[in-house]
Amino acid sequence: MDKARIFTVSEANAYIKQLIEKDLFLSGIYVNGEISNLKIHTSGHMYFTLKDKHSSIRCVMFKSRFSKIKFKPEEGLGVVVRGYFSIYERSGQYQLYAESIIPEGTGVLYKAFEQLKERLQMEGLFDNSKKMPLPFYPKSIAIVTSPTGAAVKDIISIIKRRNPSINIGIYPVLVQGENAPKEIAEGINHINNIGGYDAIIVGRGGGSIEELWAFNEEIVARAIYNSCIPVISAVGHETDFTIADFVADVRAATPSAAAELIAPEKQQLKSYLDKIDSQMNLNIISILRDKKTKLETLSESRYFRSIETKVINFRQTIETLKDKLNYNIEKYTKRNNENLKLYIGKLGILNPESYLLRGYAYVKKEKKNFLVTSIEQIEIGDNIKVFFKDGNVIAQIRLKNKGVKNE
Amino acid sequence: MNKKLSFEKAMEELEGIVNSLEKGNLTLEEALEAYQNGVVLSQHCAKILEEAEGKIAMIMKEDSSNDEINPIERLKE
Repeated sequence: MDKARIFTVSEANAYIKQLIEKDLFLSGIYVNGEISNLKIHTSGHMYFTLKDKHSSIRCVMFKSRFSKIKFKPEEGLGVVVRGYFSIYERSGQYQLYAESIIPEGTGVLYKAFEQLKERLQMEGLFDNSKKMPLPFYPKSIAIVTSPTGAAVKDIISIIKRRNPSINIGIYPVLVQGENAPKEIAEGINHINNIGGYDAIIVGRGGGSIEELWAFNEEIVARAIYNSCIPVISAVGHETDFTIADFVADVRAATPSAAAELIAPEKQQLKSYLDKIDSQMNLNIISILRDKKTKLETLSESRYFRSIETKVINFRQTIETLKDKLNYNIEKYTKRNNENLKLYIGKLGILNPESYLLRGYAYVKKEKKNFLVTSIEQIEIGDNIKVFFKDGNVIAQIRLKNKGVKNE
Repeated sequence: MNKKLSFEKAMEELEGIVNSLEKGNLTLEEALEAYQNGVVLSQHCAKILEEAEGKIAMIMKEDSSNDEINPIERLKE
């Protein structure tokens, strides 16, 4: 940077502003002092000076923050302001921009709170991975709270309104004072020991930081962390965060909100179930209708029709073939009959008897049953049997004339 | 079906059945079986929703002699 450069006032202020703002220490600081020159502007912002015996700091608290503080700031009141330093560039005035203000005595508590919060966070008690989901439809819910406060009545009436079948168990405890943390922790442990509950609501109505303090104690935080039953923290007003809120499985802004988170609305579930039911019925009806339509379409399809046609064609072919077969069988039989007659006729011709009738005779050797068809078969002196149409004679061979056929 | 099936699980299964029916890629047998299961699940859920009014009780502290949950009168709402 050019050191000889001349800055404008605005540039100088802007430079200092960013120097201050990037300082981590100054960006989140607790300052203890007394309020003076308190002015609440019509815009809703609060302007005041924080001072001690020797020094003072200009402070501003914007409306958005101011509207959340739970006590009325007054002139001369000792307070602890948490905020960050910056510069109001128009006047070059550095200021403490207050984010929260608590009365002086509570400053110690806040410090304890911050320290415990950091320690438990480091230890992993706030880890999301350790958080249990709330049961969707709890049968029994335990409430660890004061039995006389507004919180328990709110919780019961909301649970009963949303879902009358849920059982509610109340573990009565003190929610403020010295014994409160121990009682609350015992309650959570006890409910875990006896079992039978699906969720635990731990909480109380809103109050000052001191009144809510029990829910910032380590013993309560550990009891919540060690609970095997999901825990909903329901402490105070929406803006208050306690250690219990950080460690609980679910943080509800108020006791009523806790009841709404944990109790499923019966009527809503009923109508949802009805909706699912009718959806399911519509679905199955549409499936059945679809299948039916598909079946009808298929049976009318060309594929099925072509099969039908094929069957008919096959039948016709079979009929034709059958006719042909019958015709052929008949023809064959007829022809065979004719052949038979012919053969019989032929057989008639071949019958030796018919030759005998026509004047022929045949010769067998005597006492041998074969025809003699050649002179080679017989010798001179052999006896032969000659058959005629009306009988036979026995003759003796006297002479053989080979080669001579007829006389 | 398991009679102790939680409302949530039963509802989950039922939604699954409705979804699978909706997709319509089941065979007729599968669809009918799913539907029958769905009807059983739905009745199971309806039964849970019809359960009688729950009790409000005081949980007795550890130092008391009785660990049981003693019914107390309904708190005025």
